[in-house]
Amino acid sequence: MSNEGLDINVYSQTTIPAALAELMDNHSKMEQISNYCKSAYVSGGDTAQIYEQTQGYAKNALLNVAYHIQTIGTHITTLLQLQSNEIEKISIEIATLTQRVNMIHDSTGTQAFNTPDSTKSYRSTLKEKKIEVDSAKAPTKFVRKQVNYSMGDSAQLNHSNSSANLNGSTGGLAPPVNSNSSTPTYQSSPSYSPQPTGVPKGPPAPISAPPQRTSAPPPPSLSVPPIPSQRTSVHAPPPPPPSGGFDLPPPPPMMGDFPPPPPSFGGGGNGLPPPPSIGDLPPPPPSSFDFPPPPARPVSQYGYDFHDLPPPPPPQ
Amino acid sequence: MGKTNIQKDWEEREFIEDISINVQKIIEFLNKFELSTRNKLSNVNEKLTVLERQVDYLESAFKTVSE
Repeated sequence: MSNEGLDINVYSQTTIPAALAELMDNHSKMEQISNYCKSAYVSGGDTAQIYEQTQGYAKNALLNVAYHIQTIGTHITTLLQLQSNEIEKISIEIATLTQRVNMIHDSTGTQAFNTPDSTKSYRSTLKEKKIEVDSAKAPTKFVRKQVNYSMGDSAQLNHSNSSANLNGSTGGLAPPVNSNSSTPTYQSSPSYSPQPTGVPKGPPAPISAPPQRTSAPPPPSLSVPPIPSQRTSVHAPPPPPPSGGFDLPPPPPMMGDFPPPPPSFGGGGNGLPPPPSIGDLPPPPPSSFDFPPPPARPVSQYGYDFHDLPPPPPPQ
Repeated sequence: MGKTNIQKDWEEREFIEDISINVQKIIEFLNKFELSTRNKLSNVNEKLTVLERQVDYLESAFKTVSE
């Protein structure tokens, strides 16, 4: 052990610094050699020989540097290895010392080092008591939760009763709400849906509803035919629904409400122009047909025959 | 004559290349050696710190025993 300690001191104090000093001396010598070679080559003489000497000096310098680096590296590594070995030995000695101290504490100084242990044991007993109290209270909390669930059921029943009462109260108020909401739905609906079923029993308000009809323009997607005119719909009842009545003619209207009649070919004693005479008729077409054209039938001023139509209804 | 000059030039270039390669090898070795020595020194330092703590603990223990 003493030899290794001496080796460490020798390495760290003499050998490695001596090697480093030698390397630095070689560095200075190499500078001198390089300066000599430079001056000799510049001064003249045999340049080839000087160049060969310079090459030899460079080789020797490189080898010398490598050798010194190798020696210094080995010295440093050995020094580190010796230091690590010495530290391991010291750690082992310290471990033996700690074991001895523990043995001494176990053998002699137990009371002096066990006093904090006694207090720790007292604290652990207190914690155990607290845990026991918590474990005793746990089942009671679980029972309380069940009781709360039953209370929740009763609360639901109460809530259902209260909701029923609320429904009853709102049921009394529902009809007025519907009556009030009937006209707004009719006004706001652009598709002219059928009349609401929840119409109140009171007298209808013909003044308020028809103006809405006249004011609202007919949308392009109307399923119901439009109302014929405003004059008839204001004070008169609405016309009957035209279910399958498109083939029938309309009732005879008043003469003043219509534009002048178009020129017709029918004749009669109702102020109509006389029928054309036979002489006014055009000649028959070339006889590709065997039958002559039928005579002109009395046609009304509206463009249809009276014979094909039923008689008008009697006046009321 | 020209061949000899070219040969000399090539020989000179070869010599310079060898010197530069050897210098590079020395530098590479020094770098690796530096890293390895740093690692070893760090290990030694760690062991020394552990030893110092153990020594301090022992000193405190001996002081308590003496008191």
